[in-house]
Amino acid sequence: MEEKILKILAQVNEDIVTYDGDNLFDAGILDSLQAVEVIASLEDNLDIDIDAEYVIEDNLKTKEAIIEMIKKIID
Amino acid sequence: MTKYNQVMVIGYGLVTRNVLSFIDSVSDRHGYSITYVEHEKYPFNGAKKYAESNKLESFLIDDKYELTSFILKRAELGHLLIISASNNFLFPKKVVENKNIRIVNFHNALLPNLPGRNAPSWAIYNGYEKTGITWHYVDAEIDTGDIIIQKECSIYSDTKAYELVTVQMKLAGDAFMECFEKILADSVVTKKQDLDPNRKVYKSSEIPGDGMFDINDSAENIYRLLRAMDYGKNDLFPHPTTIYNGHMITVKRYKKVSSEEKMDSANKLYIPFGDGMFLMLRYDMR
Repeated sequence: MEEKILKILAQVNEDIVTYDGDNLFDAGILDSLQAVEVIASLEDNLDIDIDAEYVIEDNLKTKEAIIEMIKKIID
Repeated sequence: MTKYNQVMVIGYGLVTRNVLSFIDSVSDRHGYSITYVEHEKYPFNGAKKYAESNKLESFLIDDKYELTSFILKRAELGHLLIISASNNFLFPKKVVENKNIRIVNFHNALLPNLPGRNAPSWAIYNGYEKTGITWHYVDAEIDTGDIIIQKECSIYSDTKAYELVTVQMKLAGDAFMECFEKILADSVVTKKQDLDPNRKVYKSSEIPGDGMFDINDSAENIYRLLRAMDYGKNDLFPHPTTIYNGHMITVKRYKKVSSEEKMDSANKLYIPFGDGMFLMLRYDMR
């Protein structure tokens, strides 16, 4: 599942997967539009619904946080 | 040299961030001060993050009367150039006509086409194959000012509104970098808009198709409406609705799928495109 999520993220923006810092938004890699794209891509490819309450900076600021968020939603 | 000793950036999001970053990068050459104003709060505001991490003067002014006063007070200090990008604040006449103020605005369409709000949605809904962006000077009317620069982009048969906006934001940033120093020098060769007196100015309250479609319409038309309304989790518009089997339903998700990908499931329906592909709609009953 992690591999699949990373592949989806890389398709949106390779830098999301290669970034090793604390916050993709602070690094200028993610912004509001790319966040929309990330969420839409994850929903489409994993066939899940990501409720709006999950779409917060803490859940999207690193690839690890995104993976954790998806695991919570699926579980 | 520039006569502007102050540059104010108002807006949010990617294009505003890129504009702010570029203005900051060339400020030493021109000596102007930079102010960032957040007029509407949005999550993931890259412009605000840039301003904070680069210690630019920044303000949150969400009241339109306060913002007007703020701008006018700043204009008393000298020539003020305002860059408005992804900004819904309508500059009142007394700001636009102030002799110390010049305003440049970004519009996400090729003016004079599609003035007003949510232009990317209307470009998709109206079946355009091309649209683009415009940077223009602001005058007293909505989106009528002289054009500084325009860039074109394509709309494809699967393009969703948020995808189009992403492309337009990139174009807007590139175009801004091309023309900013001419703007500072007041040396832009502008183009007057050829305005149709009956032109339609789209309001924020208007939704493509009023947010509804006929279930018996073609898959292409339904798909176009869904794509035109699709800003992802930004929820700019409510979910599209239709009447299906006598019930009002809300479309929660849609996707173009092949016949192999079709899966019978509660609350899913498939509308054929006629070429082996189907428009899958997942819905809730209202």
